[in-house]
Amino acid sequence: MRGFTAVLSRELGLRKAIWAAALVAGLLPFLLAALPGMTYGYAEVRDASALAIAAGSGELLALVLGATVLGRELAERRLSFDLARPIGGLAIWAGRMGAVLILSLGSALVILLPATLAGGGLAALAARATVRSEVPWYLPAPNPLGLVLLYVVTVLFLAALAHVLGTLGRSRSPWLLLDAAIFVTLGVVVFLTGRALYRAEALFGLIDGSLFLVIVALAALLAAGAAQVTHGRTDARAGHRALSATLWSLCAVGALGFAGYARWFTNVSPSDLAGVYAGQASPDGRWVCMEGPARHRRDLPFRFLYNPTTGAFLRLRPRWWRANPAFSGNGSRCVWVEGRDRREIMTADLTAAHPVAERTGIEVAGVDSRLALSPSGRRLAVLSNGTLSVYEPDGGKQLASVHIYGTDTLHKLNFEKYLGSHILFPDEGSVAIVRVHPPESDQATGSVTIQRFDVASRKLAATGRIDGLSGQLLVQLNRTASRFILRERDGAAWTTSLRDGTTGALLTLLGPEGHAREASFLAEGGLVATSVAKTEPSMLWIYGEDGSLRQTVDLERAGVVLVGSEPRPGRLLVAVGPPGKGWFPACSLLEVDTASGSHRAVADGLTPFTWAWWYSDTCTLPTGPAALLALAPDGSLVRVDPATGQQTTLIRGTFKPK
Amino acid sequence: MKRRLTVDPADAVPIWRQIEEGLRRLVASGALARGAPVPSVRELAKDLRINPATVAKAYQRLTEAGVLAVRRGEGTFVAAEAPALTSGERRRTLREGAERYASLALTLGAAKQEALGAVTTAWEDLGEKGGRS
Amino acid sequence: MSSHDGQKALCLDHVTVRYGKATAAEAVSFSVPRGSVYALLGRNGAGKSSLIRCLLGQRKPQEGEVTIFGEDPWSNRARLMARLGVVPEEPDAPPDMTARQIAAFCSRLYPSWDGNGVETRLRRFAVPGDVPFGRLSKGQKGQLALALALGGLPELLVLDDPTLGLDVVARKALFEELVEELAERGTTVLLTSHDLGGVEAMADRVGILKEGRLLVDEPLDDLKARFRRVSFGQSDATVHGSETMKALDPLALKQAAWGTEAVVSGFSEEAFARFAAAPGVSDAEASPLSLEEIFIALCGEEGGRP
Repeated sequence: MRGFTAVLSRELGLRKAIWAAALVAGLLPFLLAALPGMTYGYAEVRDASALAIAAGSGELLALVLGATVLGRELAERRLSFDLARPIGGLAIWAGRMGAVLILSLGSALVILLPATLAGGGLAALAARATVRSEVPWYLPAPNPLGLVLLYVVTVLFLAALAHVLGTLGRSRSPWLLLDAAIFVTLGVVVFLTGRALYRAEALFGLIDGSLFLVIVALAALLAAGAAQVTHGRTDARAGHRALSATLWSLCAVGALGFAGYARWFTNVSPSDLAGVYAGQASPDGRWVCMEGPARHRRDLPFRFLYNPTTGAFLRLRPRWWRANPAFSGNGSRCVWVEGRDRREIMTADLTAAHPVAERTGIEVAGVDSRLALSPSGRRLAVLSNGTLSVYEPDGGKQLASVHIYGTDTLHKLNFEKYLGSHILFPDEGSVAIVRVHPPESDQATGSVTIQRFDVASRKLAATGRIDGLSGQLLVQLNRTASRFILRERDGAAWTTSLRDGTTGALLTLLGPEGHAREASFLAEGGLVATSVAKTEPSMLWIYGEDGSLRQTVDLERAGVVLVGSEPRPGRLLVAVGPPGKGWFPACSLLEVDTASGSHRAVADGLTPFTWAWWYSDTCTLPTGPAALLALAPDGSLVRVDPATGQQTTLIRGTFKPK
Repeated sequence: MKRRLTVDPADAVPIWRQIEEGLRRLVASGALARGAPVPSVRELAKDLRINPATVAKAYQRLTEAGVLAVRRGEGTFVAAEAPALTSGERRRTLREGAERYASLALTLGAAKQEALGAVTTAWEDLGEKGGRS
Repeated sequence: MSSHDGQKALCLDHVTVRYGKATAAEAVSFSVPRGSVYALLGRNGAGKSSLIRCLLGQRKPQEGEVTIFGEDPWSNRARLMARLGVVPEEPDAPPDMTARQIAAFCSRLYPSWDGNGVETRLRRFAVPGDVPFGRLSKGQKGQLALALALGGLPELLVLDDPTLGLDVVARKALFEELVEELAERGTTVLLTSHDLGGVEAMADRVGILKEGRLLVDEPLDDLKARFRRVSFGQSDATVHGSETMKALDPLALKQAAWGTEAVVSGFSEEAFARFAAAPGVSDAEASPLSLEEIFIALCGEEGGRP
């Protein structure tokens, strides 16, 4: 300790001129601000330039001092003066580095001093200096203390780095080649790891990992310098060896730790989920696609194909846009899009016990791509950039392609209108294309066009059209595209109607005077619609395939209704939310008998698994094992037995109540 | 004093012996009176630019032989009386010195007459200086 | 050579120092008893500085063991340096610091520091206190280094060629200072020097390094007792192979204008007497050799066995 303070005060004493220079530099902002022709106000320019000059000088000084504080003496072999005194090697190193840190940070503060005094305090100065800077929306708001700490770390980092580089640069040993080789190797490891995190869109993982790397690198640089002094002493070669050995072993630990962390971060299984917040079921209900944040992964969402019966899973690599996987009608195959800059369609065979993701080799461009699989899963249709293409997913062979709409239409597509194109295979050989054309203005009207593309003949035919529609438009098709639900929104009211899938002809209005809130297709062809009222008792309206009303069910309670699933033909699981509060997150679950219209309570506090509207492409109710899944308010995925009301937790959630 | 006590580091005779014999000679010749102070170890060493340990060794031998006496707090002095040697010791010391001298003379190939003549001359020289015969 | 021996200030045991492929010192063993003055002599490049670096914990020997006060200077450098005073061959210090600042810096490092003594010595040596170190003359730097080395009240003084670059007056002052120190505190001293005359007056023991090996390690008095120059005239050449010559066992023979000179390293009176009396030998004389002459005899180009 004695040696450390002695060396520290000596090094500080030798460089007293820096303080005077800093004070003079502290007057520069005043000069700059007084220059004519500045865009911003005097105080702003003064404070911003003071901050910039101070920060920049601090870093620059760290570089210069770091390179010379020890390096010059090592090069001129004058270290024996210190080594012949009762000063430990560590004290020699720490005293010098400490002096560099104090000089760099201190001079930065001194540069800020005049502007601080003139500007009424440091906080005011900082506020004025940063008033025009913006933080990207996806980053957290910067913590001032954290920023200062980060600055101190960078100053120390630069000083230590300058020393190490100076040593390596002065070394004439051929082992320098080994240093370079190791550096490049570690650099490649770090780059690849960072890139993997970037591609996985794990921004926070990248930030945390990078911070870890910086800290480890700093520790490595400091330890390397210390080793150089304590083990090399007056021998330059031995010093270089000790420096390199320490530096690279610690950096390797850091790089491998970073790689390991990235691997761990992205290697998530359903048991790592902190809860599930949304999902989609395959047509036979054997598989679901679910999404939720993973524990300790900073809320990064992960998506899985999950078999609720066996627990088997396949992790889907996330995409920026939340495009959904598409299932084949028989539930044997699933396709989805992966990739950030280069998007490729991936496929999985769901008949296997543990499906794996396979590449199809089919690339899609544009954010608006829609996918559809034929009932058997042997044909894949892709609507992308206005072009419909049909492939064989096994092998990626293209069978046919047709132009649906031009790029000028593309430009007009926004998020809402993106929902306006739907493609489906009514059978193996043809693709139905239903497009919503929203009204261009308040006065104009919108329309829905229906086309049919025959794969074999490559002929595109228009089969139907609905004109004269107004307001927001939404189309929801059933699995075979034989029917679709059309919703028009006028002000606050929706008008919901059932249409013929080929011609678009109106079959019936749904709900009371067509004001049904939600409507879903049933397994045997009919549909169920819910009523709108929030305060009066809610109702279910059951229709047959031809659109005739078969049954109405009085749920005998008020609240918003969501029909969750169809566990058995004729049995529905219906969720009713607390009155006035919507239906998410916690509802009462009822089992409804569509034949008799009776209902009974099953469980409380659960939400249907497929509540998320953006997953309800075809809005056909889930059946099979998926029909029994529900979400608890804490995000747990549970299986409900409608007969007993017993709940089995499949995935434990830890969401906090809002 | 200092003028008359010199040492030659290059000489084969060890320095401590040169000091010892030099001091003995000075005392014997009377240049250093009985009871007179002699320089401290440190002073002498500094003057001659020799290792004080060497001077200390010589002084110790002389003190043991009774030529010098140390008075605590005051310094080192020439002994007030001649070294108290028994006649036997005296005889032995004389004989040792004589043997050394004889050996030297024989080595040089001097004749007995010549050697004895040199002794007489030295004795007379010292005696003159010391005021004794 | 036990490191537990409290009487030894310093001990080297089979120390070998290598720089890459070149060997600077090989299997060097010697020890310096407390309170004594040890002179380590050798020509330039004989290995003295390498050994000194090992002593000061600045280099680790490839083989062998170094102990100072029973401890390993490489592992305990900082602790041991509190008990040592070092005057290096090329005294260095931060060139911008003045003598006074350097003294102030050093004063913080040692458990006891004799600031007054340092001041006195600087005055006596006429070393200015507020001139930056880089601008001092070589002699002044050396004197400052000695003053600083003594300031820490060391138990062991290591002086690596302290008289290098000093003029006669400064040299005298240095030795006087050394004598003072020895008389005052009985400091143990290890010194290397090319000023053999000055060393001769100070050293208790002498070690002579030649090409990395220690030829001689003994008290100075013993060394000088056994070396003699024997000069003689010879009437025939058979003298050189004779028994008496062999008994004398000279290191070197040299033909001078007035006869032959032999340097003998294991002198005995009897052997000399027999040699002098041998036929063919005339006017045989045995005279002592100064340390300088002994050194040259051992380490000069024609130098031979010790």
